[in-house]
Amino acid sequence: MRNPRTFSAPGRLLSIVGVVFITAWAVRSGVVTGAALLNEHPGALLRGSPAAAQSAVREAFAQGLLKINQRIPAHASVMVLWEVKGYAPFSYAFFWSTFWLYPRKVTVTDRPDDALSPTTDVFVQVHSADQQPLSPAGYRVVSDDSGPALTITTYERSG
Amino acid sequence: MDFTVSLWILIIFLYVALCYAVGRLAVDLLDPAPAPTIVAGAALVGAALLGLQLWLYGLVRIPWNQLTLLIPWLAIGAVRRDRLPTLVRQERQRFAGLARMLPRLSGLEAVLVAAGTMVVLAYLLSLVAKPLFGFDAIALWLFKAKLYYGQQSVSLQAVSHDVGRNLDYPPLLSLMVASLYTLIGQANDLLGKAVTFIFVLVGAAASLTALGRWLDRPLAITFTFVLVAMPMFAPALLTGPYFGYADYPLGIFMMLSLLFFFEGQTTRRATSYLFAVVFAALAALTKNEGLPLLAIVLVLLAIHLGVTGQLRSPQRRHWPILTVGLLAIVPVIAWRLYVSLAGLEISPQVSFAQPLSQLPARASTIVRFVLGLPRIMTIGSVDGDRPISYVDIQWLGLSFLLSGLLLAVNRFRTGSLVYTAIALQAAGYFLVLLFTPLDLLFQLSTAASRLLIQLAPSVVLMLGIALSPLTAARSTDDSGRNSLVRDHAPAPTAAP
Repeated sequence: MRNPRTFSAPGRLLSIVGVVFITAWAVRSGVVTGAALLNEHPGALLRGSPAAAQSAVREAFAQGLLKINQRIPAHASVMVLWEVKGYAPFSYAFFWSTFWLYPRKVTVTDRPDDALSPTTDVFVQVHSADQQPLSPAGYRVVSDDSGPALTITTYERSG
Repeated sequence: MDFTVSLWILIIFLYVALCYAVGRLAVDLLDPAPAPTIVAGAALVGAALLGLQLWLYGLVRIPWNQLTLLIPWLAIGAVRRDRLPTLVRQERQRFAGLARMLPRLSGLEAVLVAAGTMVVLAYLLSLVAKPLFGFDAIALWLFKAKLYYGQQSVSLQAVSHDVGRNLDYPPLLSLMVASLYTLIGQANDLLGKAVTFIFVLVGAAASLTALGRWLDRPLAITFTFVLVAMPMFAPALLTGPYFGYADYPLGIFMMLSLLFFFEGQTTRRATSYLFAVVFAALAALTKNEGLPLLAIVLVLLAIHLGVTGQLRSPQRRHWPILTVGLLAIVPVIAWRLYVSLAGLEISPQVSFAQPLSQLPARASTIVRFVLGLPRIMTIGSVDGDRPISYVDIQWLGLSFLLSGLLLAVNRFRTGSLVYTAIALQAAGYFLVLLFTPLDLLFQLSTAASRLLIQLAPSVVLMLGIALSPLTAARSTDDSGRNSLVRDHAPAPTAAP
């Protein structure tokens, strides 16, 4: 093995460049991440509650799902009707509903004509404020969360 | 005042401690005197083993609960009770050594260690206390964790018709989250996303330990600080868009695999080679991008062992290590078989139907998009009026270029295999994007910054490796006096 002390001048120079480079990167990392860290207000995070932080997410459907999750039975069969296509893609409605309402069996549709399955326990209609609630027969309104962007009306099978 | 966050932070620390204990027991079975780097990676070995244990339980219908999860490890501890006092003593010495080192740090080192520790704690606080809203976390990783935990098995039959859920993605990260759910006795999405913290800790510990042997102490601490505080990781660890995503965990697994590969090259320790394979296999079990890494590591390892003659003289004591290496790959093969047999393959990510004439334009689009990421991806400054770029693409590119120059000028062949691995992995990403049949701009906008997160830890490590021979040369006279961690292994030197 060659004597490690016989490195060439360019090799030594490059190693100095490398050391300066990683030092500069450390400074940048400290400055940028430090600024981001201070923006996060760690004291408030430590004193707060994760559930409260989650329910304060500035997104109406996500907030609505958390409330629905608290209100409906744990093993209900759920149908979500997504009538606000301009608000967010259908995939968003599907993945958010199936995630936050798990372990319930959740079906998501964007067609109002889809008949409610006889086994549907809970019907969630997500619509804009200018649309009328469907008020399906045999269901009663559990909650009605209205916001500027959308309204979430939740029905539960009566009786 | 709500104490939930404090309680959850405590739970995550207990989870890490448990994973460390499990990983340390497992490592001890393989190597009674493991290298310090292997010990530094033990918590992730333990976390992965607990996850894989649940997978096995699902197959043989053993219920998932605290008792069933911990009994095998308690039994191993009981069987090896003669070793426990030694292990405890080793651990006490290790932590006492760290505690003794702290007062000896120079002013600059102390500032970096304190700042790095604050950043790590801020990551934990954010991972625990902040909301979950990332698309992939909700649609894929944490949903599957909840599904596996609810079913008590790794089966995707119930969601096999869910388009867009990327059902072929491997199960390890979700299983690690499910193991936390099993330990606390309930699925808790908001706490589940904090499992990523174990990757932060192990990545930093392994970097500090390995680079502490290969570089001067101040330099090792500086590298580790960059690895911890790189702004690029903020969306995955601090600000939230990538909370619960698998890219940062994959990046740490990749870095660990390459770290052990290089350690194996410099020390010829069989267990270092083994852990290079183990962590590559864990990467392949975390995300599909880990599959090419596993292939690259296996091929380069075979070439290296062949060229250095280490394959010609296999010793009897190496057979258990070889067996474990093969066993580590079994879950990867099992998952691919399951995906194939269950028909869960998603549409091909690569298509050669693209007209050749379009390829230069597509290549140019990819390069321009990636180079333009710093302008797109910004975070606000403290006073909120000047956005700061958090994508370190220029730094990563320059770092990799500098590493290549250092290897070439110093004819440092030992480091060139790790460099080749990173280059091949990055080239793989580029080719997949080049030949994707999906909308290229959509792919770039959703994946480019995350692919860089995957590569970033390995790129930082590479620069440390490239600088190691010169640092070793500088400290030859004081024979490792600067080392953070003592070991019998020599510092790497350039090959003739």
